[in-house]
Amino acid sequence: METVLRVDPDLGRIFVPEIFKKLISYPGMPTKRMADQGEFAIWTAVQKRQNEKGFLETIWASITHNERVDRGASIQVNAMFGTVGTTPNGVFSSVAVASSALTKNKADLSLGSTSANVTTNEFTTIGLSRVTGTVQNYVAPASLGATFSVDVYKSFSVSGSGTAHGAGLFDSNTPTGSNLYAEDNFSSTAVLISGDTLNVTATVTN
Amino acid sequence: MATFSEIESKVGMKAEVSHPELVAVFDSNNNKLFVHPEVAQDLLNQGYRNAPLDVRATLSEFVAIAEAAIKAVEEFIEGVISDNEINTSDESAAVTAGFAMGKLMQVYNGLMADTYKTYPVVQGESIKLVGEDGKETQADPNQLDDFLKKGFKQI
Repeated sequence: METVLRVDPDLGRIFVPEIFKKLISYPGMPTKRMADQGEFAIWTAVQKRQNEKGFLETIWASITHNERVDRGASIQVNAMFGTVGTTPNGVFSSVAVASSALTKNKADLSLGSTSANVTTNEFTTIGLSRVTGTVQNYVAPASLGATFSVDVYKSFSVSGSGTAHGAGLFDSNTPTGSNLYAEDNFSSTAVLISGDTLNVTATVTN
Repeated sequence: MATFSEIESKVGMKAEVSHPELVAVFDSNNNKLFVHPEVAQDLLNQGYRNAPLDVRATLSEFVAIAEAAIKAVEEFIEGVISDNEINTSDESAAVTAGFAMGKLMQVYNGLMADTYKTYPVVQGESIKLVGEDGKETQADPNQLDDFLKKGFKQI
């Protein structure tokens, strides 16, 4: 379906497909769509393995993103205003690794689950159990109203065999009472063996 | 009374050392450092290596990140063409794709730097010439004719 984008003084009525009218901004008119990156986390995961010559070889990597879940928002509003939202259990620096593919839901409270305090889809062994990462690389907003970003980084030393499917960010290393901020599946699975290193970085934009 | 040096040691060498065995790590210039094992992992995370510089290791990282970056770009494009619009989720995917490409460029720069650090840059052999004043010089083969015209002779 076509629609009139604008009436140009020289060209007259300019017809474009409906979808373009929603997207195109032009001089002298309000911007149609503001760039809104939203609240999300970019997950960078890198798997390294020592090769026969003793070098740490990178054998797999994944860069994906997903938006903040509802509980993450609730925690944030409480931290800012106190009387509303969910009281945090700590800061969102606890990195969990998914042991199975996550069915993601905005209402998730645990990895791939709307049930609170469960580790159904989460590694609890082989060196991949939930642990505090390092908060680093804060990048301040580039302009008024722009978003900031910050990294939460954890290097896991794998002590057994397993397949990592994704990761999540919590506010506590203890599953009971912890709150989920964001989660995502990796772009493909990381097949891990003992001795491997899995570096997980959550770059949070807010 | 026996002097200290005459007393036979009853313990192994390692047991006499009051600290754990140090671990070797290598900085970006391939300098070997011996550090406490607990410090080693932190240094490795910061870019130190547990083995001397090996371009193949950096190349493997470049390849893995490249594949991840391709997937990130694909996800953005697929998200757009699946519903014929660039929505908020797509824009997050676009940021992620840009992030991935930036990461790839960072690794690429590291790969180039590592390669130039590791291997010598070899140029073609120069040609020895002698001038009319008897002084010797060296010239690039491509400029041989110019030098000969100026009175130089090839040695």
